Amino acid sequence: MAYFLEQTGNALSLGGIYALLAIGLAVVYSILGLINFAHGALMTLTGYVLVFAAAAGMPFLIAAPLSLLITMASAMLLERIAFRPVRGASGATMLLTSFAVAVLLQLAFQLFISTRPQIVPLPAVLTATLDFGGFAIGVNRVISVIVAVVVLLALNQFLKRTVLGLAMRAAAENFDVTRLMGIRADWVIATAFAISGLLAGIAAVLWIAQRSSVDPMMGLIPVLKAFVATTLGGLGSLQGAVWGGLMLGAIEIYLAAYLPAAALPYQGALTLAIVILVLVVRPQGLIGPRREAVK
Amino acid sequence: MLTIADLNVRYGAIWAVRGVSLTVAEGEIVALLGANGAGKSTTLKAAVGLVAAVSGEIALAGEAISGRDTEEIVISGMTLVPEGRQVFPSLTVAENLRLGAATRRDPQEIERNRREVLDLFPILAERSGQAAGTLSGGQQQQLAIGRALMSSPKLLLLDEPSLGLAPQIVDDIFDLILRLKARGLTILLVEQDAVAALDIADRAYVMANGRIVMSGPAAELSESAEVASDYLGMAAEPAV
Repeated sequence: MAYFLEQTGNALSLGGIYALLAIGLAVVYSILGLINFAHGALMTLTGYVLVFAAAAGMPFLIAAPLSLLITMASAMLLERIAFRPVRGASGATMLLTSFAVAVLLQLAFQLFISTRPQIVPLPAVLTATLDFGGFAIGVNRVISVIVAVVVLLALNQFLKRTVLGLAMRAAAENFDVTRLMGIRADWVIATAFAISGLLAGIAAVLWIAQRSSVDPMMGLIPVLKAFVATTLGGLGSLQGAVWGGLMLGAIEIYLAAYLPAAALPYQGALTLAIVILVLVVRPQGLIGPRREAVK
Repeated sequence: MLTIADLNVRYGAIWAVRGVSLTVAEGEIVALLGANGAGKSTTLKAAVGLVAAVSGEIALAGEAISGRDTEEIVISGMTLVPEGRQVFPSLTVAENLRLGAATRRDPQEIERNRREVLDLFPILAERSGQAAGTLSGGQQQQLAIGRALMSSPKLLLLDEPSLGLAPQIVDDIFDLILRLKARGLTILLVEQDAVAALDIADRAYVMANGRIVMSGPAAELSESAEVASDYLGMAAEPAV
């Protein structure tokens, strides 16, 4: 039982990170029809900001918010430089653009920083373990779950209570009519990238809190997983992204925990097999119906 | 109030609007009639900047607005109720209305405006918390118009408000348009239902193949057999 609870804690922690990343992808996709694979590079960037901030002697509690700000600003900058010129182009054009941006950033990290992993010094409290009479869970995991929940609730409030939030939801349904409400297309899109970048940064800090190192490829795998999660949840649906992320996290962790040792090498394949099975039954994802992106 | 001069719009190789000029004076209802594909909707979309014109001048209350962004045009006091209503289906009725006032800053004014809209459409108050997609077609049309009114426009462009609605509901919508006129709103109405539109309009223009082919007072046009047979696809009464 204690083992199961521990694994559930791990599943929620990993699922929460996937959910944050998946929403970041979904919020941009729902408005622009762009699947932003450069999202992973943003995560990596957050990591390097933490490395350099620590090297400059900055305490983690200041470095972390700073890294979020820089990641958010970079996401908005990417939109201005790379994605605005292809706005309204075909999905394939935008997808290739996002791959190009991802590769360029990765190469830049390799050339100008290092191909080798860099250590991110973490406060001791993050690496401590909490013991609940028999079942133990890392402080970093607990924080990860709490942060994910708080961020999701805050995002939900933003989307429901503010005019800009309403505009984001409206733009996901009908971009032209949203403009007819007098809402600037550029603002809506900039906000989508700001939210997306902020979530990528938060996810990166939580991810690094469990690994304490960063390398040029760091963001690649989690963002691929997040893409699987958005597809699983229903492409373009924010709610679907949350459920898809949590479900993917749970599948991965429980498989790793309960598969017999001989089957462990197939954990990744089995995870994807389950995802495919779900999509065969519900092609629109967990939360349907699937809507086509406007533009 | 609105002046469009020599407007040309094309989609790729197809010229949707060719040399259209029209005016709408303050307080008028002007109908823009014509068969499907005549270029009526495109004219409205170009007026609010949703499609780019190749050439032409558009002025709102004496101010040139050609080439401006939709967002700015809405702030200057002209908005469009798009064809097919296009409410935001997953947003609630209240949220749709709130977005309609997105350009406005004074919360008290927005609230006053919201009350006026709800007085005009009591059903929207009843359905306030419901997702707009669950409303009937007629209710969605009321919401689409109410949402446009939330921006406090001087000039309202209505694109096919009767489309897909039951005849009884269509009557209600046209009554409503008259009431909006009585409140001082200027209206440019695009309609395929020429009889109903000419009934409430002061003046009308008839479009065919992207051009304006006739214009005049609504009463004169509704008597013209030519309009009926040639451009509006109705069975013509034999001319006496």
